[in-house]
Amino acid sequence: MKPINSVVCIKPVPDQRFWDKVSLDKKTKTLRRTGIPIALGPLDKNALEEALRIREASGGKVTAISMGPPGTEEILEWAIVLGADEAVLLTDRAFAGADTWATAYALAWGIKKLGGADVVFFGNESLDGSTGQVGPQVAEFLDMPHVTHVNKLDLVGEDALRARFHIEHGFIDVEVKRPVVIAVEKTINEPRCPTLWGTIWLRERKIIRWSADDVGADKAKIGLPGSPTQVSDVITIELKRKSEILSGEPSDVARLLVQKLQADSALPKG
Amino acid sequence: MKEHKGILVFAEQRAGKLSSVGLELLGIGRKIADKQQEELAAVLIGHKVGPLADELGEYGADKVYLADNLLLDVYRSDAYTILMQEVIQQYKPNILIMGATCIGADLAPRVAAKVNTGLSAHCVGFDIDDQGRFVGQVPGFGGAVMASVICPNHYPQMATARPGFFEKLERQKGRKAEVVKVDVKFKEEDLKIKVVGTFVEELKSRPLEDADIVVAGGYGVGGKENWKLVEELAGVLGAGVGATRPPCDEGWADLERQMIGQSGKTVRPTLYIGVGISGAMHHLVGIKNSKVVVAINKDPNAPIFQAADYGIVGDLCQIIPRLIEAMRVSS
Amino acid sequence: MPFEVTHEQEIARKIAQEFAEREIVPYREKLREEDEDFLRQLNKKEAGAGFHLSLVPREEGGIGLGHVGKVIVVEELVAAYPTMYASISRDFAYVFAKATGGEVKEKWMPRFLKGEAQAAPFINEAQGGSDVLNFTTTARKEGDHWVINGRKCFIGAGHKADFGMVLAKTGDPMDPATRGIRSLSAFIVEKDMPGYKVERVEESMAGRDTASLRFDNVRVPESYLVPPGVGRGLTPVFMAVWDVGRMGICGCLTGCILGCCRASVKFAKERALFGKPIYNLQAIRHRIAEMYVDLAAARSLTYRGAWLRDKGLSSRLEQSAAKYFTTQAALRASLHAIHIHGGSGNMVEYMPQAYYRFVPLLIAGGGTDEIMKDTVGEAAVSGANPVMGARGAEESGFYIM
Repeated sequence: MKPINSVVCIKPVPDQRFWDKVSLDKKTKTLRRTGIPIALGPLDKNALEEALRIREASGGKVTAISMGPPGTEEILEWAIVLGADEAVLLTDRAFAGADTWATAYALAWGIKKLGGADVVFFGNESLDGSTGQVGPQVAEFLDMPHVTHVNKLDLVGEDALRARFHIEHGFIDVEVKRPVVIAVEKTINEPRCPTLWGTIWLRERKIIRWSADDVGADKAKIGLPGSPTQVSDVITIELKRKSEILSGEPSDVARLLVQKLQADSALPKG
Repeated sequence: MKEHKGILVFAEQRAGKLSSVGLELLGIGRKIADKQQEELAAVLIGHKVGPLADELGEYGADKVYLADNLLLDVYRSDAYTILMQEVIQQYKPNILIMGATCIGADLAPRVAAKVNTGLSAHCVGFDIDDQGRFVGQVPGFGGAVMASVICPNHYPQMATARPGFFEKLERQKGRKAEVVKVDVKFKEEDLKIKVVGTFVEELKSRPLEDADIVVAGGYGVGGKENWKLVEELAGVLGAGVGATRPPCDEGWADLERQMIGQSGKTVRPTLYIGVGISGAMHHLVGIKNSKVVVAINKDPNAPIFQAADYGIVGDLCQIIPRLIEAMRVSS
Repeated sequence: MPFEVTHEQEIARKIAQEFAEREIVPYREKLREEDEDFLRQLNKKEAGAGFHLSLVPREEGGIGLGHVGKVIVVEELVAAYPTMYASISRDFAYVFAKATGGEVKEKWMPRFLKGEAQAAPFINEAQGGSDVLNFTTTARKEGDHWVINGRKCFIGAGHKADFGMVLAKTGDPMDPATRGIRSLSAFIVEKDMPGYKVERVEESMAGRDTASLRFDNVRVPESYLVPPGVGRGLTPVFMAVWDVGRMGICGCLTGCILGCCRASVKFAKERALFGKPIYNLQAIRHRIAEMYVDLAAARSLTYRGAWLRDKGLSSRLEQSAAKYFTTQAALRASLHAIHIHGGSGNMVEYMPQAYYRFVPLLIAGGGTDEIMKDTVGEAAVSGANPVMGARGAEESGFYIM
């Protein structure tokens, strides 16, 4: 079998354990994330795991890539600890403020500079933005087919993949020749536990840093200027429930509740 | 004179049946179209799906762009993207909304990248602002934050919409949409994705995530005997039965199909009733999209009462039978 | 001398944390029940993760994290469940095999590297581990073999050891050349040698973690005498206990304190009293604060002792101080944790009692408090500076354990 090279696109997201510390800056309408540790998202771990399994089956290289501010190295390091052969950080002021289109564009240019890949992996959605859009958009910019919501992946023949596109109450199994972009769901595999060997790999393997100029990205197509969508407003949602306590005798309380639910159109009709 | 006009929605169909989300999009699409005084159209792609075009008309579409071909029988992103691109480039819609279903989430970003426009994801609300721009309301950070997203300089302004958040219109029997045929100019050899198998589950009961009403039980239910009351209440309401982890550990409920919470299912019912549930954060995360939340618990200090619209402090053995009775009487 | 934990050591901590969260914490009940099948599986996973290789240098096939890295890893594993301390006994196999060399090393080193060999120091005897000169286990020369007779007890993981290093009396009380500290020698004994027997697995309040061993005319070849040789058995023993065992034990005790802190904070946030979580009560917060200060101090002493070892500097003083302090701090912390948990503190479903039952095992193990304080006291009187500590050359003379 020919060695299959994978690129895994990962995203720095605030560590879920500290989400309640993220606050909204009402003036700039951006989220204040400083001081909150970042982590590798759970689906990114599934994506990396799938790439590592393909490497185990076929040889080849696994490269982790991420676009983010300084500090993003932490998740790239963790990707190496888990087994990635190398990691690339796309970091540049010019990348900041990007929506999914501009992010996908930057990542695509980074992957081109790497010389492309046989498989480009994504987690199906990230923990914070959870749009699930970047994968298919990178595929468009790299002119590769894509399959999302993949919960089963197999190598087929010399140069193809069979992927299970998991849709509501069913699936569509497709076969695609590589190169292809695959976005994985959490049930596709069980991400491996890191081992202490990861500390050795971390000493030996590189994190490469590229700026927008390094990858040859058109400045008009990255970052805020390159983003077709913009956020015009952000508000925090205080999920305020009525918290109305109904008191009285059980039969009275029961009747009262039914009345209120009917008034709210919460009960089934008829 | 504005070059891009009209609201376009993607009418997702699977195996010859329209997905509910397409009809929901016609509902919200109609509101926007009326506000803009523009036309509402739907894109319908598949094989032998002509009759569905009529249904789309009855649910509010003025026009249906229909691509009907054997190659389009089962969804494939490359084939469908090419057709979407054709419709967009020929008919230049102002706004394009697709459902954030698995297929929609797979197709919409590819289309947006292909036609070089912006896409707002998983919107739970739409509006036109005072500058005439299409605004999508996008929740983030697990629902703690809501962003208004616009696409001011690219067309069509695209968005995907959360299924189940918008209302379909009343079906108007006999209302006709104009059907515009879209030709398929490619062949099987031109496509990179080959379908090798499909499967659709025979659902014995609606999965909990889709249930309109959910009755969930927690450790406070107390025992297998009492759990029957939870199931009885659910039966009367036609509701799905959910649970927190302890009842699953105890064997009163099934972990895979019924556990609601951070590491389990997320439900979006119109009505959620939590019985004997204390209201730990990891469970509340799974129910926060419920429209109306009712809590029944013996412990007045249970955190769930803060996260509920209506709360009853009491013994479920007393409350539930009377609740069932009151519901039977009222209907 | 300033010291800091390196980035690599912090990564090692995160690796141990994730392992603990996935492979240990969800299975605490199995560990409490000492489920042998589960323990075997877990040991395999630990070996696969390379935890037993923390201390072994890179060039020798290990991970090469040094003593600080090892102590941090031990801390996280023990915080997940205290009997994980058995993991720290594993690198005794490396130390003994390396020290003995020859056929012992050839036989055991490869197996150890694969995670398939475990060893323990067979030192302690019924009349007291501190009183080595009065040990009754003997070894006499017969041709080119040595014959060992005697008994050992309270040997940590003794029943699981594939081999061990026995401290035995080889000296003749009539011969001044082989009296006193020159009367003791160290030998490698393997578990399938005839005459060697695990007499019984001892049951402490912590569980079944130690064993009594019996040697009935156990014959070992000359090559199984541990260098530097006859009458010089205390040297490898010090190396084992000081270099490997003691820092591991300090890491283990620090891990118990860490576990008590985590469990207490979690409980204090969830448990409500008078309508509010109990961390709102000052008395609870103060107990938590005391535990945290103890944790910080335990880490300082432990990591610094380990760091000095990594630098090749004498650290006997720091290690004694760390051992004595971490034992006391861990006792305090487990009692605080029990208090914070109220009635639940006694229940086996909660962790505080697990730490509380386990820590006393290490009061005597690895050097008693009394001996540690002797060491520190003597050094203080001789002018040692507890901050600077290291005095360069290895001390001669001996410290009774």
